[in-house]
Amino acid sequence: MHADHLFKVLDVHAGGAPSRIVYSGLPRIDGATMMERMQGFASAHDWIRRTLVLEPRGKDMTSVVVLTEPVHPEAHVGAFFMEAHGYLPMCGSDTIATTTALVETGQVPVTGPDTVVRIDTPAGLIEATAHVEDDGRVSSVTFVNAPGFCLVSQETVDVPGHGAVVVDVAYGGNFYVIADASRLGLSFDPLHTRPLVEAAQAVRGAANAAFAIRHPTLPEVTGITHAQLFWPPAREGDPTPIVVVIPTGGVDRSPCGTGTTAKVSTLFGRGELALGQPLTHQSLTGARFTGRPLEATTVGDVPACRVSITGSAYIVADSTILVDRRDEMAEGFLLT
Amino acid sequence: MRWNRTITVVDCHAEGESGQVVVGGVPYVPGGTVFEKRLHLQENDDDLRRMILFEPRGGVHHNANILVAPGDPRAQMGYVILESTEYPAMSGSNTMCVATVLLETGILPMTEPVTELTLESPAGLITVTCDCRDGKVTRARLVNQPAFAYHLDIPVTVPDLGEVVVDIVYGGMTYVIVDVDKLGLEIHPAKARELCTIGEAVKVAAARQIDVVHPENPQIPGITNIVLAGPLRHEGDEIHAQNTVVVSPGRCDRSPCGTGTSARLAQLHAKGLIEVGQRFVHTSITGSMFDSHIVSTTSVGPYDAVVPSIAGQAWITGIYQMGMDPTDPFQRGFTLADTWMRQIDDLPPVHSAAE
Repeated sequence: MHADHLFKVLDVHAGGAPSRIVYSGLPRIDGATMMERMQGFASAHDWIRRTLVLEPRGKDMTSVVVLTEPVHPEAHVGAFFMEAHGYLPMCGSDTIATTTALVETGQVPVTGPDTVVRIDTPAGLIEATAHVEDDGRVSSVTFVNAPGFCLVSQETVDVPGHGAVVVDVAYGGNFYVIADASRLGLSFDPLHTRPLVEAAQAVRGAANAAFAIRHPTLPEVTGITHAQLFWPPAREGDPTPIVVVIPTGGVDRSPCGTGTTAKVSTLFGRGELALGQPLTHQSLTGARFTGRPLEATTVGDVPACRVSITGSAYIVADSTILVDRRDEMAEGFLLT
Repeated sequence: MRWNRTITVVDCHAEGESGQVVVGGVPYVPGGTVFEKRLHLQENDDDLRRMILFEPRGGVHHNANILVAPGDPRAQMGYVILESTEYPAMSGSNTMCVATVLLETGILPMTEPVTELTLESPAGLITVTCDCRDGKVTRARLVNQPAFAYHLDIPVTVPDLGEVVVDIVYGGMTYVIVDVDKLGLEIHPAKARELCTIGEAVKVAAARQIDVVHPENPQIPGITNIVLAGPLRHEGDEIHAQNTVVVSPGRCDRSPCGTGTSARLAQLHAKGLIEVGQRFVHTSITGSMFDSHIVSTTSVGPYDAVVPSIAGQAWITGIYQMGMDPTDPFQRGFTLADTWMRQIDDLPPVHSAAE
């Protein structure tokens, strides 16, 4: 056994979505801001992303969390996020996973049943609260996401194969098109995901054709990348079933932090959800995330809402990743 | 952090195909042979397989091997092979990973330049000749259990495709072999999804229509796997071919597949297309290669058989301490139909892909 590189990672899942948190073995990461650090890492060390995310060391759903020293003086840790197709400044399920792992492994000291962890990300300082049990387990994590807002509310688009479909388009870290799948004749069934993915992508395509979507303050963020199907709960108080389809056509294992932020902002904007009132999403794996509107705000001149997201994460492995440079698959491969 | 089950796993791949090796944390597995230990694990502790291979720890392309004490005194180690939908009797890429992990982590002593190992798989004794240099296994050559053809050129009726002529061959698992040309397909990474969909359809149809029983061990499953075979190319005395094996529940083997290559050697020999000792180079959909040949001929029950030799290289890619949080809702893992094709439920007493 030989290693030219050795990375220590904690494998964690939040709502079934896998996060791989790298806590040792990375090169020095410089930059005056977390965004500069992420961009600098992407230009100098992108092979590390491919190695940790792609086969044979990773899998296409893997999201890798790079831990760094923070830039913000009040932060406990800095972090940015990388996936099979690139880098993310913020990720909800990764935030829940990272907070859980940092507290449960003692990297951030427990200060009480509600232990605050501040994570410096390229999207800004994220404050997360770990709800700590008597045995040291973090039973859930609540964090406040960047503001979400709705740009298109209850408008009709023509979707090939489905006809007229009423949609919302909202932002919660990514742009989502949101549609009621019960009206499309689709069932919430983990055995049959292909009709769900096909319908979600058709709705997304139709919405992108119908609306020119632009972020009010971030000119590089345009277009709808994600689709969100939901089913009205059978009984009041039940969670809302949700399927989030990511740009590659994969199904998010978790109920999706940014997707829940987008939906909560939309309902709050229409007066269908009051400040503090919970909306619980349940994904196909049965996992639940709960979102709550915290306060009204604006993004540019668009009415927006700060949203808290609560979910649970579990450590599934403490791992060492080895890279022998003579291995032709040292930097991974992608087979779809 | 709280865990109530911890296992130590050395992560490894052979020519791109995952073969994790569980080196610690599994209690004594009863059984007089490795085949009996395999049955014991399947019947009593399938949650262990689900914990390692299913999400959130695993993925559809993962395999694992549990090291166990061998039953045969000639063997230095035994291993039970775990895959997404079954406990196969034998796997070439997994065997290369097991041999490499045993020697490179020092569980068994490495002698340079060559270390000979005798391992007990559920299918029986497997000898592995490992070329070793500077602490690295640079090539693992295994001699598989005999491979033989049950049926040549037998028709199968496949929904939407009609009649397809296939061969049914045992190479450690029971294979359908079909020419990709006959299906109008080509082996290319961008075509992986189409290859898997059609390959699964042919496999399931064949398993429903053709029942085979291994003459020496009736508990070995019937048809569970398929080789989509590319055309043969002759380079001097050598034969070259690309293939892709569609592993259940429907994904391409990342390697050229050891048992699939064994089955292909038996099929080619039965059809008079290869001689004993002739080199057969098999290339996977990812471009990785196995170097193979027929060592000798023999028989298994009423069938003419060949003894296949397959060589490839494996690489250790990680050491995982896996654990199970007792409050984790996924105590038995989960699968989703988008990547796993279908949700994988509990293993039935699998006899073939039809059930």
